[in-house]
Amino acid sequence: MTRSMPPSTLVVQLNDQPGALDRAIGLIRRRDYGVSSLFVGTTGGTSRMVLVVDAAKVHQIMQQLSRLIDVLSVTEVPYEEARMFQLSDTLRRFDHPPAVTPTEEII
Amino acid sequence: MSTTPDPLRRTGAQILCEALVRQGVDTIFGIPGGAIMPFYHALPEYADRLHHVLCRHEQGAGHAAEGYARASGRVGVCVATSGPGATNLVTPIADAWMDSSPMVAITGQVSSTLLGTDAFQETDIVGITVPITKHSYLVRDPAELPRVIAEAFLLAMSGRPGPVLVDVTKDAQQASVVPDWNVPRVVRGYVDHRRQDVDPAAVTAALDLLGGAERPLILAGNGVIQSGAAAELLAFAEHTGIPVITTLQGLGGFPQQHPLSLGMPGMHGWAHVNRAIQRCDVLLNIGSRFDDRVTGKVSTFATQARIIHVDVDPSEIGKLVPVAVPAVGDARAVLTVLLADGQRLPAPTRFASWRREVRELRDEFEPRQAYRRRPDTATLQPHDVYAALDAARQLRGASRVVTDVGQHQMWAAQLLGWQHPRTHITSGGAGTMGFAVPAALGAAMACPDETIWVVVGDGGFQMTNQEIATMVQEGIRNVKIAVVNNGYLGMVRQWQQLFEGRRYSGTPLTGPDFAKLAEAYGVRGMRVDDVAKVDWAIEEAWEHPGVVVLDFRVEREANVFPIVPQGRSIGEMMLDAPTPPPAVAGRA
Repeated sequence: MTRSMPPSTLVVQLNDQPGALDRAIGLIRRRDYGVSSLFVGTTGGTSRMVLVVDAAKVHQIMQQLSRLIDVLSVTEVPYEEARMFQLSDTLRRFDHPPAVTPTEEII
Repeated sequence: MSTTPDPLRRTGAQILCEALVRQGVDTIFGIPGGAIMPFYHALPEYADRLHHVLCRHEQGAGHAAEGYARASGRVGVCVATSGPGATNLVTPIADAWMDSSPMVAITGQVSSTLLGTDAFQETDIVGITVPITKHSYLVRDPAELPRVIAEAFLLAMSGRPGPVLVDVTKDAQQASVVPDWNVPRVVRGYVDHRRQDVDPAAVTAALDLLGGAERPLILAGNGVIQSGAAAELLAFAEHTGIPVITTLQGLGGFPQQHPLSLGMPGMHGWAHVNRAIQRCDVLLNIGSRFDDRVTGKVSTFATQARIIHVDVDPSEIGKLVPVAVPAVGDARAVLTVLLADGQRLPAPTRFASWRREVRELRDEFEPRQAYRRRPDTATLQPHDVYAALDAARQLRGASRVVTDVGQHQMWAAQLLGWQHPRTHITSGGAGTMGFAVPAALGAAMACPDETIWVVVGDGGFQMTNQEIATMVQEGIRNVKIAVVNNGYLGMVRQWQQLFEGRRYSGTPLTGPDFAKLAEAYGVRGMRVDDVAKVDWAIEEAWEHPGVVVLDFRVEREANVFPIVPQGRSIGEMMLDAPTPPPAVAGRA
């Protein structure tokens, strides 16, 4: 995301049921919403998804996620608060995986 | 078995039947198969309450359920087995999703012990239909069925209606439990926006905007019909004197014979309607979703207008067009609230000059459009068929028209008069060829006392005409099929003519003799290629106590005008062909 607007962070509560996560993530794919980071966890009967999305599309993303029956709530976290999670900083570590030497030449 | 069975125990299959009956279902459309056999085994016990219509293809069953729902306003139910049975339902489910038709699709699934093993006729139908259902369930435990079916119907019918899929494993249908019918009437995580109070701030903002308007327009869509708001819309339009345009799926939501009715907008809408949209300063959209076939190039759509958008689905508001006043709620609820504030609404006298302006637009463009309705030619034109059918409809009263997808569909929308909700049934958002014949089967089951006209092209007719056999088996007599037969996949051919230098790739189409095909099915068939016989044929069909297929051999290269070329502004309509196509002698 190279927009001047800072990205938006959404916290999504889902039913802790098989397929719930699949529905939410599938929706983001098929509606062509970009996601720059995604966390998933389970907390007492519900799943929680934290995703960082394009701020220009955040309203529509929230509305579309809310349409899913397995989505219990969608909350936008204020930018400053989201920064405290430092999600992206934590993840940046994985941006440069160790180089892998090919073991076979593909002809 | 030595133990006495609990008399309250029921198999999952019995519970499924019972649950449907409890939802008020009396008609279901389906085809049996291995994984749904326990359900079919239980069905005869409920034969007095649940009538099963055996279709010839699951796609037919699905569209029949849609036609039933669209005609009646009730949930349409279709049933199929696992694997190919279920995947054949995918098209009608997608169609119901795009047009917000309430549908519950029940599919059998392989036994739970076989799930995920690539068992015979196993497909992940829940996974396949996630993007095209409001919600879906995989049931492995019969005890869940009372709750799941209650939820499925609640979801299908409430809020913005839509399809819900219930996939039931074979062992869940076979196992027995004592069902608990005390099921909650709410679904966790689901908000029914019909039942929420309309935001007073939105109402005030809408009233302010309308009060300050000079050139307002109402754009009425499917939401008006789905919420049963036709009377409220009429009252609102008359109270304010604001002209009304109706989208394809809104046709019938406002009577077109009313002086405030302008007609249909969009790609094949009337030119004066699109001009009016481009000139209006406030656009009140009630239950329509700014589909690209309505807006054309969206950045150029109604650029002078501030938009009030009433929709039961909040995700539609602001999705494509910037909205000044969002009003979440169903059309009827919002119109009722607006009418309750009647004294704050503008009086009809306020927009007299705007109505005059709109009338002048109509007078400017209508002569050319009137020509299109009845071209002065000796060969049978599609327009002759519509003129005759419309005259017969006006004489005979109660009838419904089910159309397919393509040229014939746009002509029907343009050339037939639409006065009442649920009388125009077509595949809009998905644009599913093959919709009409099975959807008419469903509509005929829902409205046995009305005549159901099918208007269909020769392409779409050849996709699903097998459901005529279903009609015959059911003893249905009230379906009359008019095939507008031009020997082409006509709309694609029209685009090839207008935009691709008449390169008719993949569009010329042969077919059987449809009159003989009708006779083979055991119904009446007539071929009509003479202008003079059109009225007679339609009268004959209407009078005949059974299904009739009329094969109208029309001018092969007739086009639908006006047309907004795809991706262009609705201000740039082609009112007529750049050069008339040369006459084509004979038929392929």
